[in-house]
Amino acid sequence: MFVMNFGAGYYDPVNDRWVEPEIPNEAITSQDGFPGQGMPVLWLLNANEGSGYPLKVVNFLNGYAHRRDVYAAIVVPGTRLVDPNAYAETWGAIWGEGLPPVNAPIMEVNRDRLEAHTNDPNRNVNGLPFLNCLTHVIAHELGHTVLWHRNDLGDHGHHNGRDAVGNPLTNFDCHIWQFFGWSRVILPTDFCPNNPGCIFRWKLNP
Amino acid sequence: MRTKLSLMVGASMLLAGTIFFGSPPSGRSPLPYAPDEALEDFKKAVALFEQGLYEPAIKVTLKLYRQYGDVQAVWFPTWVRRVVKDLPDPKNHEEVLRWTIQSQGRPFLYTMALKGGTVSSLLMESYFDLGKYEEARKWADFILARNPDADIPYNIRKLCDYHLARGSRPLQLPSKTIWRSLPLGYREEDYFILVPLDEACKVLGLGCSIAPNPKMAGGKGIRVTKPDSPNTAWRLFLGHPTVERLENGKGHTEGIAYAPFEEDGKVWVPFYWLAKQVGIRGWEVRNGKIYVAPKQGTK
Repeated sequence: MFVMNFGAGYYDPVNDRWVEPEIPNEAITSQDGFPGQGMPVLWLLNANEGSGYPLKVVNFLNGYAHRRDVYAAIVVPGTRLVDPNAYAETWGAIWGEGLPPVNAPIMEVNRDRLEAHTNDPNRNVNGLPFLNCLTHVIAHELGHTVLWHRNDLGDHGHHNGRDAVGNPLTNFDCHIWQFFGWSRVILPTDFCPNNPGCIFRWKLNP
Repeated sequence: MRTKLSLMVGASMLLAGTIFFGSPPSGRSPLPYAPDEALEDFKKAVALFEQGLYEPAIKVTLKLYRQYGDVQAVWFPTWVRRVVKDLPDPKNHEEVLRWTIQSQGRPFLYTMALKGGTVSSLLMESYFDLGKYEEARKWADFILARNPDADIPYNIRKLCDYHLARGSRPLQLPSKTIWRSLPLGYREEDYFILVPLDEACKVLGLGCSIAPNPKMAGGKGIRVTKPDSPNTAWRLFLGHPTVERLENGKGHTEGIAYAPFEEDGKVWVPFYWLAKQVGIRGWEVRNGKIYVAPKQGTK
């Protein structure tokens, strides 16, 4: 998974001009760009597209990067989620208002439960490392901040192996696969890295 | 009234907008809350489960199921009130999140202090942890019938099938007639069995130091060591439901189901946690005493 901010040109006050973005939008819209490589793209908002400073504005490095604001989701540990049958849940999409007045995506992770299950050899039958499990869960929730209610393809953004009419489209080698994979030997490390069909289920900036 | 209504509408909208790992909207309709008179039994069931006392947990939870059906409950445990005075309504999860993130009242992880659960998930998990896979599978199916995409029940069902196919059997503990009682006092709070840390460490053969340390939570530096694991130590924090395990110099945070606290100069910790560290496989409270099963390999 990677995060970038496309399409954000900037104003150059010295020369009083608008500078076009170095990386064109086609990078995420053309088959010659990332989609053709089978990579999903998280389209990030710049500060003008949302409020909530400083929560969505975390990437102030230098020069060029100063012009690029990167959103941040807030990760909160919790022991009792609204859904007792989940390891984590997400509140708010990156383009939404989030949980007022916090106004940023929030993902609550039942870390203790995940760790207890990771340490249980009757559940974690393949000995998956806890950090892998935690990363996978957080990445899954991070995906939801982008795939917020993509209901046109069913399952609210989850990838479950099929499209809306049941044709095979996605596979489980993806952070946004519907279920945590205790039976897996290796957990996904990315969003659909080997299955370009998955990208058609991604919802970019609406 | 209007404010309350708008809050309720807001909360409903947010709830409807929540996405769970493996749980689609069909599973999001929350279960009804248990009536007030059921809360103590619920607290008891959750405490027994979290202390690894699965058989009594199942007994209490089945009683709840017979009386009230599949209901849920949520509360703040007693230890929380020693740390913070004001608390959000535990049933209003949005508020709990907001208080946590905004440090409303005081910086405190309110989300880590909540206790609760549902009858069905408690039964499913208790049976699974007990190794009773057929029963666990039944409760997983029960949940999946309502919410076919519920993540943990989906996994439990698969794991039950896996263990049943392998002929896995529940863990057999030695007969209770040979369990021994510990010369250790205890107190009960929210149905957790709590013991004085220093006395318990002596009885269980653990090392323990409790020293004033203004930098640490509650002004005390608390450390537990295990003589046969010289590279491992645990740091406990008063009023925090977390433990730091230090292993070969590296720290690793773990949860503890009931936060340690100090009262009248004694530091109280849940017995189950200490028992786990010394490898006690079974314990119970009987006739006012803590009884423990012999360790593996002993008679």
